[in-house]
Amino acid sequence: MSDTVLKVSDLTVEYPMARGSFFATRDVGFSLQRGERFGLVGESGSGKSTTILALMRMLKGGLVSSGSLELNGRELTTLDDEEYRKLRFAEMSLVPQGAMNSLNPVLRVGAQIADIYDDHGIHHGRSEREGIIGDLLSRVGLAPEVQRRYPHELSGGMKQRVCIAMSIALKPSLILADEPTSALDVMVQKQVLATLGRVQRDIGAAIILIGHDMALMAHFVTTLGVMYRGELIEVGPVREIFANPQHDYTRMLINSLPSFDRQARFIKAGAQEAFN
Amino acid sequence: MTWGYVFRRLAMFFAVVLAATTINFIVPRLAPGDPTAAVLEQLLSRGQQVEGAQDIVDNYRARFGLDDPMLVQYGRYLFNSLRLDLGSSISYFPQSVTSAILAALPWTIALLSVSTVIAFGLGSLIGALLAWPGSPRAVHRLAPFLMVLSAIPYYLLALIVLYLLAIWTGWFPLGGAYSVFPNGFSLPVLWDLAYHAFLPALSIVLAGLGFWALGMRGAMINVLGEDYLALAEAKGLTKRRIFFKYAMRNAMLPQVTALAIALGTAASGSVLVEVAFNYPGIGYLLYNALRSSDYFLIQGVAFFLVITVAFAVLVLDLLYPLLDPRIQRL
Repeated sequence: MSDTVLKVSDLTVEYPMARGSFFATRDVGFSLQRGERFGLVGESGSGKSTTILALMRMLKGGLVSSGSLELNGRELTTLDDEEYRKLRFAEMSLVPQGAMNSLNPVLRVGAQIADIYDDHGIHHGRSEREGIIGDLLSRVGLAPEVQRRYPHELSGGMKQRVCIAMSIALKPSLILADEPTSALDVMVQKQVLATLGRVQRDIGAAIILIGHDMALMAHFVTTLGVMYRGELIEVGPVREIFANPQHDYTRMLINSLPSFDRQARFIKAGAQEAFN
Repeated sequence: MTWGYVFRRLAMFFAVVLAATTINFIVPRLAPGDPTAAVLEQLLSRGQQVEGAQDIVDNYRARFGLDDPMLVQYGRYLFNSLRLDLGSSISYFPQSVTSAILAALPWTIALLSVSTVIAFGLGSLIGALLAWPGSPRAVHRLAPFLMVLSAIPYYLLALIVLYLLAIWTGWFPLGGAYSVFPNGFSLPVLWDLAYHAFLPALSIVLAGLGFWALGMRGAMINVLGEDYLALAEAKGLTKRRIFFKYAMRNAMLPQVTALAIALGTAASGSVLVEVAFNYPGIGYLLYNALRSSDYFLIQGVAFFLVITVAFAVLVLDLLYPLLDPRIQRL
């Protein structure tokens, strides 16, 4: 079995419009090894989220016009919708951006996690299911009893932890995290990111983390990709990119960090936590 | 659900009933026309000679307490309403108001509840499918048709339905609720009742369908844009589960609120439907009572309608926290 989890080549996503197409991404290509942490940075509209949505086949109105997506050696672009549905969360899961509104307000947390098992053909007895969901919640630092709560009874950080618990429910080999901490305050951001890092390491999944906070990113990921106007302009080990940025835009992103040295020390403390 | 919530809803129920009873008492007395004189006029109009007409009027006024001070009449009215003693009907004399209403009430409740539930359920489902991107194209073609339907009032629809399905084709009876008054529930009797109730129910369902479908469509479009729908899809859930447990389940919440409001409208809207189909329910009774200035019967019908609607709203209010857990905090 090869150690390559994901291989994206020449991914082009276009949105057909009245006057020509808008290309959200152009010929994006990269690959991820087992357990690798890959960061995607870039300004709004640069195509980071589009790349992730294309991977999940959840583009609304857009279409993958060329390129190939290979997950664990299997070509994804030729799968039918039902095969794709079964693959979601089983092999590739998503931690959403809007932590505050990502849970169904009228269902208990436990029921929303149970859905995942039910629709992937995994059956448990009642108490067994409760135990499994409880375990899952403990792994992200929540009490097992949280499964009996409704989303409005949880804080933003707790909701995002629930989303992280969901993302590892079926032990996928790839986790996609679309700015998973952007809706949270700074201290909670660090803790949630640390939790995400820990469970990702536990199940040995690779992760693609989208973010705009270069500093936070730099300490979480091992490989960094920089996107600019739909193109992946630079990919490489995070240290190399910081030490020797090849592209003007990358240089600008790095220079935009205010007084880097001071911030780096501050972030290091948080990142230490993320790595442990 | 807290006891405080239940208590507040119950208090609201009684407050509504009290307020309605009071308004109920005042309004007919502000209206022109004397009920006893009206009865006399009815007799006179049939060409009957009435000896000592004034004596009869005075006698009636004394019997019904119409000469007492207003406050005494009000107090008596409240007390009697509590005991469900709503006096004697003038136009159906000597039948009491309560017995006249109780005879008519089951017809209306059966007709209205069944047709409202069908209109609500079917309309909501159609509305949800209208907004759902994965639904068949045929469903989307229904939208303009439903908009037209929702703009046609109950009674006009009743006349159209009556003309097309009863007069023109002769498939259904012109009116009434039964062929022979039912004494017992056997299969043929139920069949006969359903056969007679079909057209009035159909016009109520058709009139309500557009309203519920368009309301649901709007609510559904909002829900479809929510983050939790995107996550549901990402989780790899089946379309069916996403549609019912994530989308429809949430879009139903404003619909249930609207149902509480619509029940009141449905009750009053059914009056004309019942008149159009000679259906022996509350609406038909109210229509007759209005025509003969029968104060007591009008009050009685209004009183029962208010209690029924307030009760239905109370039930919905108590059920609502089960549908929306967030409401428990209020």
